[in-house]
Amino acid sequence: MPKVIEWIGAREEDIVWRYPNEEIAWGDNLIVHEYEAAVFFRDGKAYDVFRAGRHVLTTANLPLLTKVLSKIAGFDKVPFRCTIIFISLKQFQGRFGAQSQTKELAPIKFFGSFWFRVEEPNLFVNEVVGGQGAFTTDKLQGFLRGYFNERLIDTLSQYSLSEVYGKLDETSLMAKNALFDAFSRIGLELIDVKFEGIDTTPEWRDRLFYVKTGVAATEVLRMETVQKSAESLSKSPGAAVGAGAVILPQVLQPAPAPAPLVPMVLCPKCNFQNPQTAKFCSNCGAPLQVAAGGVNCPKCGTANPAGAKFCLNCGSPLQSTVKCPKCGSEIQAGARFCPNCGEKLA
Amino acid sequence: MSGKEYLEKVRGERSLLERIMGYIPGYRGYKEKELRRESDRLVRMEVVNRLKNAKMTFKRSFANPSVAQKLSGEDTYRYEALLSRLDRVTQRIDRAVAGYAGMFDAVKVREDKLDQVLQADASLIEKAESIRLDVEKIVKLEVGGGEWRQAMDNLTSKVEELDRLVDQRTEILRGLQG
Repeated sequence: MPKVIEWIGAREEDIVWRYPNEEIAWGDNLIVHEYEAAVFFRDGKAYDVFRAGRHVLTTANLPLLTKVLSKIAGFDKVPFRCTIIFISLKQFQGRFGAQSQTKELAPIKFFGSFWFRVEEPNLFVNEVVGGQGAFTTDKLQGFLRGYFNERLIDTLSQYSLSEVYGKLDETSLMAKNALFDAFSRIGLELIDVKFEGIDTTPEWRDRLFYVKTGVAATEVLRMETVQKSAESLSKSPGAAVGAGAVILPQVLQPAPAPAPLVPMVLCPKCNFQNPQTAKFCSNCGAPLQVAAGGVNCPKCGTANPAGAKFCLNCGSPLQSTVKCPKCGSEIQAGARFCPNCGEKLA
Repeated sequence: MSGKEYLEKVRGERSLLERIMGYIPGYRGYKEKELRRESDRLVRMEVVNRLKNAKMTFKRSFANPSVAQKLSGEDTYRYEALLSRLDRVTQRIDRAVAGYAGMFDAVKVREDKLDQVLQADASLIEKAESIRLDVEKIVKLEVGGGEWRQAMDNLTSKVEELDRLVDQRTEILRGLQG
């Protein structure tokens, strides 16, 4: 009598069910429901993936005749073996959860759900299920946990704590995209990833709160130091009465504003750095300040008042250009010949 | 390939036994309808394969973190919404009903109605191919740019249009069209 083979009574978490009888005879009917696929193996080879419908199977196992011939040939069982593995094509939910660190090394715990479906039944059976009789979401989660943790830890470490809290959608998209290849490799399609909870330590939660309210990170750290100092003092049995009164006011003082950077002036003579307000170089005594429109001597570097023709220190000419006595061209001071007419200038 | 050509192809694949059984009164009608349903399934698989291909190209392009990081919050929503719609329409076509009515049902599903469904499904192939080609163009654009956003919006409209065309199939089977 031909058999009717179908998967009945699948549980919610069942992804795969293997039909237990391998003696499938010629003419047996395989019923595949719309929400399933069935991978058909004959003599150990994957022959086809059946989708919804009634499929009449053709095998070398002819009822009665094969049994008789097998006995005559000395086989202890029918050698024509067939395997049918049913795969559920519905969406499954998996869970994930692990600990990681953000960009600023804040410890972070996360958990959530992911949804997936079997995209390539044959690939999934051959890569993951193998010869197992049944395969559930629990088993698959065990298989996928490593992928998830690795990818999510890596993704979260690229974001700061406030970004992770503020841009959860983008973070989950990044994670989903990063996991895409790992899932397709084993014949699965990752449909969605959703974080259901993200938490950090109370200490970092406080920091996040203050940083979100606009307090500078340095100020948050100073306040934490004050808090810790106060706690340590209260616990210390040997601390003299009044020690807190001595220490705490100092740490409670807001951090002094850093001194503004004072621009320095280089001495034109010896290159010594002098404050901008200095009038003379504190190293060589050369005058530093140049009056508005004044000019530095190109020879000794002395600052000369505006309009001066010669350096008040060394007597060198200060005008940057001179006129050629022959053609009247403007020539750089110090030139020995006119570049225009060749007249000797020295 | 048109719906009729698919049907002829499936008809030609029948074995001798199936052809002989086709002469049995009662069974012939059952088999004729079944042939159309099988042809329709082949057509739908063709549409689904093209749409899955488009979805795969899209997802693969964003598997690169440097590309995915360029998406702003708004663009993330745009991308996710398009992917969800594409997935929905793919599943609707993949899991569509074969077309059946009980013996005493007011609206019958006969060969002519199944032929119409087959024809309607064959017209989806062209639309799915156009979506696939659009996706291939989009993945080459600068993510988050004006041109990219425009192309994404156009593609979303195209996917919605395909979704509406799938509705026509149900209307034919319910006798509301044709």
